[in-house]
Amino acid sequence: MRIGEVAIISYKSREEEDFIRSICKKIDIKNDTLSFGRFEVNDQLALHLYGISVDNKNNSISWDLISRKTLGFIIIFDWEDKEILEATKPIIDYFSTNFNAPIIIVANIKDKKDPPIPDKFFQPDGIPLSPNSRFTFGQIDDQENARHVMILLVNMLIEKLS
Amino acid sequence: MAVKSRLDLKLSDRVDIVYHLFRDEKISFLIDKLDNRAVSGFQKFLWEKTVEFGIVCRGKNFDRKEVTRKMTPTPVFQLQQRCTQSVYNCKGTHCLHINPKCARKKIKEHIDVMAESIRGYIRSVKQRQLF
Repeated sequence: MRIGEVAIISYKSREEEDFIRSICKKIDIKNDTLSFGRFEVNDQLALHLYGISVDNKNNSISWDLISRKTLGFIIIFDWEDKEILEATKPIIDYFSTNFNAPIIIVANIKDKKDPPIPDKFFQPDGIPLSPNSRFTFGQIDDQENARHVMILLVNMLIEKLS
Repeated sequence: MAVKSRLDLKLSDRVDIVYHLFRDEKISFLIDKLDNRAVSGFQKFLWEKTVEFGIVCRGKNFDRKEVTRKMTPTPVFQLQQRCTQSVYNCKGTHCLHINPKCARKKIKEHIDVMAESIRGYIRSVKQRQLF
């Protein structure tokens, strides 16, 4: 079986765990630094989702080792929390500068039934920020929304290959 | 996939632009902290988003002239600045390196126009959604 690895990153918030729970049925491993979930696409392909909550303590993480084979990065921040966005910016720049894998920035909203932005902007393709990155809104603890993010990542990978 | 790449405008600055636009906030002040290369990237990125959002919100009715006509025409701007350079040079790209203060002034005006257009598109979609 082939395995694809995807990194889900947030700043201090544990939103990456909600995302993994939405995609995989359960979190298989969880500790202070990392959470892990496995999603079997079929009997030949599985996706390993590594959730990493970054804070100042995590500065020593060897990203270059962890990220060498990563298919893509999903970076989540709380749309209502400007401080979290500010703290997430260095993470966004680190990954966009040092790695070539696609990046999706997800603005997490609390309730998709009452979104702070018009429905029209919940585009399946996200908003392109650069050839290698997209911005999208979503309620990451909602299975359907989380799936859209994963599909977007797969589409970005396919676009990259073609 | 460990490759060093460099965008003219950092990814976090691009996120910042989108963030402020969706919050119906002004963005031209954001260029104050940027170097000249990034300012040029900022302008380019915002123009791409203006066209993109215009098409998303207005479809075939979108005409880029509805944005550009709100910008001060270059000859008028040059006159206001008492600039003697050729009109061709006043694009906010060439001047940005030889007279950054003047170029940034022009770029800020363009940014305000583009950002207001985008915010207007978002507001109009929001209002349509309410009815």
